[in-house]
Amino acid sequence: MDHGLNAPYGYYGNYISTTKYNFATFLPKFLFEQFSKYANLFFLFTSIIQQVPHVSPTNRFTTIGTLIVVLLVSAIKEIMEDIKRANADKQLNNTKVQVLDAESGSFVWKKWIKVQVGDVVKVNNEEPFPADLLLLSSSEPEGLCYIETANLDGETNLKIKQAKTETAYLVNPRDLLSDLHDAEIVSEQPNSSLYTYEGNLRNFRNGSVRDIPFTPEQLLLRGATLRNTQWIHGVVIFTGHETKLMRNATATPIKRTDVERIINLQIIALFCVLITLSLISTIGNVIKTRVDNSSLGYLYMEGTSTAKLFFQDILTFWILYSNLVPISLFVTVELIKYYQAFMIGSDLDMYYEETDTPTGVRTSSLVEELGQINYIFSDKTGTLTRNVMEFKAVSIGGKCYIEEIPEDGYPQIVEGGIEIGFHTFNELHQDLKNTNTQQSAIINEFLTLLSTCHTVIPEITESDKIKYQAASPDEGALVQGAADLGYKFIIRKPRYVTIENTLTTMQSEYELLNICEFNSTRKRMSAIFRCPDGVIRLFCKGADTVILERLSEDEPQPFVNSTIRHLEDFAAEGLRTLCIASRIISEEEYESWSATYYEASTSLDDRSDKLDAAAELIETNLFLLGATAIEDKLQDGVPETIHTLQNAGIKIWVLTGDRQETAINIGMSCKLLSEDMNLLIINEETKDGTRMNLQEKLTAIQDHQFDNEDGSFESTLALIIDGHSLGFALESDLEDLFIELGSRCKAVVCCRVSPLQKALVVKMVKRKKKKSLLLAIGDGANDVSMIQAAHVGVGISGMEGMQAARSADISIGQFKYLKKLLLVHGTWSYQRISNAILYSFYKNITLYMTQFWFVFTNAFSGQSIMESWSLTFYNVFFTVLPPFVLGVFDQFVNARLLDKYPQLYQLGQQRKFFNVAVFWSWITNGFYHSAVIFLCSFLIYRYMNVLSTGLTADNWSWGTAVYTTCTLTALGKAALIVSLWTKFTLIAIPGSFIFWLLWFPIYSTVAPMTKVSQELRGVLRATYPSITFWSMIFGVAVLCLLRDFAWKFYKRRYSPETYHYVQEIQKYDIQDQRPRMEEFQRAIRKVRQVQRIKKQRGFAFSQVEGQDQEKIVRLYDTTKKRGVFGELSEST
Amino acid sequence: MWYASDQIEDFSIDYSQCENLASSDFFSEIPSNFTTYHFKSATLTNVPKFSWKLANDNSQEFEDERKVCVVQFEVLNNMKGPIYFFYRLHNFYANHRRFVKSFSEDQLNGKAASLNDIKNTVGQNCQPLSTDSQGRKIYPCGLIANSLFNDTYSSTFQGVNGTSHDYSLTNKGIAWATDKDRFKKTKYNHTEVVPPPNWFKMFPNGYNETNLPDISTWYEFQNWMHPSGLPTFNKLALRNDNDELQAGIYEINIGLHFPVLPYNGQKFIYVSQRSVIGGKNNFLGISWMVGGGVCFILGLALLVINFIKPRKTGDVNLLSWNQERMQRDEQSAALADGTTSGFEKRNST
Repeated sequence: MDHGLNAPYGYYGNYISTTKYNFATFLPKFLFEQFSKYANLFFLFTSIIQQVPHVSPTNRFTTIGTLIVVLLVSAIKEIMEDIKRANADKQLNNTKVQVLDAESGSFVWKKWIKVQVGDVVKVNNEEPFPADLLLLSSSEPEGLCYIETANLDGETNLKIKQAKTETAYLVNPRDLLSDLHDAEIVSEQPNSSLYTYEGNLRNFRNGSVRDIPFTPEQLLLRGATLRNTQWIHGVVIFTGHETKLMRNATATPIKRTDVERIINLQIIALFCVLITLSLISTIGNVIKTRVDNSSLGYLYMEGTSTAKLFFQDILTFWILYSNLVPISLFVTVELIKYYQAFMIGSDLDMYYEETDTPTGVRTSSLVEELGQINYIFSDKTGTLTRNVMEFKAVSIGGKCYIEEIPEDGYPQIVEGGIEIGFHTFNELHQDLKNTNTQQSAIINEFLTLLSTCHTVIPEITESDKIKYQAASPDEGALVQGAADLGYKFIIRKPRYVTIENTLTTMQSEYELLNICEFNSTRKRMSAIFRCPDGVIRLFCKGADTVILERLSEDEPQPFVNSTIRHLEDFAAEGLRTLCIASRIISEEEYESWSATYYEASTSLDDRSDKLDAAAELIETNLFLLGATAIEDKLQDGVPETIHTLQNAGIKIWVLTGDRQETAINIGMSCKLLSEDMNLLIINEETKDGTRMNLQEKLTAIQDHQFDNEDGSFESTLALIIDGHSLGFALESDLEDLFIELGSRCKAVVCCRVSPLQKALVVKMVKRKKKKSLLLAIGDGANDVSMIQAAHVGVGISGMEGMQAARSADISIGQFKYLKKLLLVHGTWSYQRISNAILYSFYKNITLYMTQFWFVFTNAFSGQSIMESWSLTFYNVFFTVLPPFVLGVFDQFVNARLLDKYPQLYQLGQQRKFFNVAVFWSWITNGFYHSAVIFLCSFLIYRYMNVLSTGLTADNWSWGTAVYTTCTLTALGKAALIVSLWTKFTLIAIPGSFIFWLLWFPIYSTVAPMTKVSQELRGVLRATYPSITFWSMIFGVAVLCLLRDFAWKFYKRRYSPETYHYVQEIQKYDIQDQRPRMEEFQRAIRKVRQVQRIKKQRGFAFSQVEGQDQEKIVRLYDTTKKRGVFGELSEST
Repeated sequence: MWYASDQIEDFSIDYSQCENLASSDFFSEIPSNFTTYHFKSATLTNVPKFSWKLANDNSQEFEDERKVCVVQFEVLNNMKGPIYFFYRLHNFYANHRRFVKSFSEDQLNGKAASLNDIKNTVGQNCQPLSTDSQGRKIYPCGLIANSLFNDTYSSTFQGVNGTSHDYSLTNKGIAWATDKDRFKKTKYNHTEVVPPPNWFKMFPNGYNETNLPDISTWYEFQNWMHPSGLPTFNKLALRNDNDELQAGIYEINIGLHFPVLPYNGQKFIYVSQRSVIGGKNNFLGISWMVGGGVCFILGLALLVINFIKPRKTGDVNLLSWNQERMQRDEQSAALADGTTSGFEKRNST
């Protein structure tokens, strides 16, 4: 294929960029984003007014200067974050793949970024596809290959793709080069539909064959991974941003945090305050100048019109009071968040060693939301579970065997002669060796069944080990389990399977007669074998409900009761169970049935129904052998994490593609659901049914709640809803009902949901529960939309690729880190940010409102008390550190106690630290302090003769004294609200004050010499030597803070909040020796529980229906050797 | 501090109404609402006498500038030096924005500032008094200089009515020490500049070679150029750092030039000692005492509350969730009790 020919079409390269900006778009995009914050817009406006001559009471460059600094800092932060994204992209773009090189005639390694449309690439097993490809050939028979598309649609099972038979022979580079030399592909335009494709291969083999149409069967999408297949050859059709994956990616939405929203609103409110203050001052001035004109004759005010005066004054006062809104607020907050994000990232407790993944905060602006989460939406596979199945235990012939016996699990006989507890696998082998017992025979049959009755394909790896490739991980686990117990499945041929008994090293071949496939209505699969002893046996495994009703009634079933008991125990542990049964079929019966079956399998309509019916005929009169228990391995620490998070008052919704039983099962095993919970199950086929069901449940709850007011009832509710019903429930007329019900439940499990539904659920809850903050966590590409829809998206950088982690706001290595992330970092972050923001407002108001009080003594002229650069430095130097320290280092309760008392998390959920009331109480406090400071300084500097030399002070000396008092008061306030004193706190709070005290002499001496701040000439001598100055700044500051201190003391001592107690516990290191009430309580609740729900048991099948399981089985012959290129040679 | 402040003996006389109320023939007593005083030896009966008389100073060129207010004041007891003599203005908005920024730093620094400099410098310029109607630069320009306080005080407290000793003061050292670096003799030629409009009576014919003011030694002017932060303010006029002001009656002549009545303002003379905290300043001490008092009362109150209703520090049982739980337990316990007792009752009956 010639790249030159493709040139005119202008295909994009395979370069992928997920960055927010590039060189050209940075400035406009960045400025737009910055000025969409009211505060920045406001300051831009202010600095423009300041340029108008004769209006500004302060130096005209003070605002614009600060604004530029602020914007620069934000810009640097944005660039840093974008560079990080760019680096991640770069890493991806530089991944290597084998590309067919026409000149050398072989495959050469190239970077993904170099891959072009029309290239033929070779992708090896477990490698991701670099671009959208069309499958030409593979190492497997008939050009088959398996792909995993978890990244695209979240389905973890393998999908089969098959090459066109015409191209399947293209297994070596020579053929590829010669036969594809002049070939052309006519393809559809790039689009976002994952499941459609149309294209044609023309001029193949130099035109010797007809055009070959391509279908989605041949489409291998970027984002998917090759599995179970040695290699494939594919031709690149879409690259880079034209791939279906990228077409599906939505632009990362800009997320605003709740606190930011409140700030934005309150800034508008403050703005109104500002206007009011300006108006008061302006009207005062107009009245003063007009009515009292004669008394101001020395001002030469003639010739100014009232209107002009009015507008000029408004602007003047606007500027004077503009710092009511702290200009540095946003940049301070952003820097704080950036640093908090950095600290989260460097927390070793949240570093996953195995994959070398630290926690990464990609959108640092969201950190404080982590402390306010109300709902968690979690993906299941890969997030809660590892998607690894482990063969955990078996119950054979009424005896339980397990690898390791748990502490309280030694066998004992309970009522009815049923044995519970466990034996070890070693004991199983001993039982097996006792060939003269019945148990031995049953074990033998059981294990044989496990190793034969399945659709697994054994693959011999290089080290001669057998790797089982299964469409369903459960099956793989069963076969592996049987192998571990000595029944090793080694060879699959179209009509035979061979197992090797590793205990006796004896190989035996079973002739596979028929397979009755699994599907969700049958909930079982069976296989009919002619065993080496010539007997035809039916092996059947399936869900307990279906197996138990097909047991033979003629034969005695000695193990039913004990098996059921074991099944219950397994289910309570959250294990996935299957019942195992078998039956001997007589030749005659088989003959007749075989005919029926053949007929069914060849019928043209309703084939599957007829096959099911046929299977039904033979799957009767079974003999129960036992049951298996498979553990869907959870990620580390999942149950504890979920339990703690629930204690913290977070509602957890699990959205999973699994079927209902499995989902409940997993819910149980990860402590999301417990046995004493009331499960509300909604599984309806119609919309009306769903409506009825929802309504019914809701009324029941409301009735129940009426006589059970303490709310303990609600904590026992769990809602299980099926994907089908969910679809209806999400429709606009039912969603109110649904959310009403859902929000009352402690846990919600949505089963069989599509990726789209995941996002819809999140969006719906977001819309309906405006006050709540949502966190979505997932690891696959199918979770991306959900992650993006939620307020905070957390991605697990795990097995299913990095897609989720890359589009998430925060990426973590393991689900369990969520606990510390939310409970510790989230709570801290929220409290810190809140304090930092509130404090920033407070400190500005304390200083700048003295200006307002001042207008009453200067004829409303808008004169500033302080010299304007000092005023600016207040925000830039002298009080800039306390918000940082509050925002970065403060810990109101230490990590250990936050972890111990997850209930403290509710402080964030209830917005205890930052809400409108708190905000305005701080603002009022600022006003109060400024008034006290002004009044006191007014009285102290009454006649200005405060200097011991007999000289009088001027307005700037007085201003400096007021300024110093404000600084000390504001810093003192910071000292009062800091909970944890670190060396940085010392630098920031007393340090800032000392800095000012040292700075002022230097500045007021040096600056006037350079024609800056000439007002300060001589002021030093009028302040520092004066005792009045010193006693005023300390006296008045103490007077101001007296209120705060007294209130704080009173609050803590006499009407403390919960966290105050915890602070005391921390301070005095009090041991919480309460007995672990929870266990006790749970026991009580269990007893009280009247309505026991019917136990739900998940069964271990997770294949996707409708795939030709039999076909696969029949295709493979693992005895055949692979050719030079790994392909199976068809000829033998 | 309050004590220090209280030690200061001082008195002030509002002489704004002198030209209207004082007789030109004899000394009349100044109405007591125009005077304040604080002498250690003052009692209800032993009050100092203040009286005034309007005189004429015919050396003044303009008739309306000739009024002199002669003030007699009685010092009840000896006042230890240093003694400061201030004038005080009330209701004069020296802190008005228009006023504060209306001067030329360059002119004060002695530079021959250009018209553009004095008129258009950002932040601080002489508008609206940069030039006269013919466009000539005003020196010193601006509103501050124009409204210079120009009442004159005789530099001696002359002993009268049997007080034989005089008390002389000086205007040396009434300006900030830093001002000698700031205020320099101007480099302007006298032809370039005109005096501000309000200085007309001081310089009726404008400037000439000899009368161009040398602001580097004009301490009253330097003082005036420091605008006050509040509309009521003192400015030092004269001082005597060494001598004790002995008890007796003294007389001082005040040349009345500065009009305060049109501004609804008042002007005072104020004679004071000093303390470590500077001038008399009762509030400073009071503010500390109030602060201390509040602390004490609060401390006492909290102590009492703590005795009445103590709370164990860091009691785990008080954690809200533990409380809830306890409540729930109690409720259910109560419920259980209730039912059993009811049951028993029914049984017994």
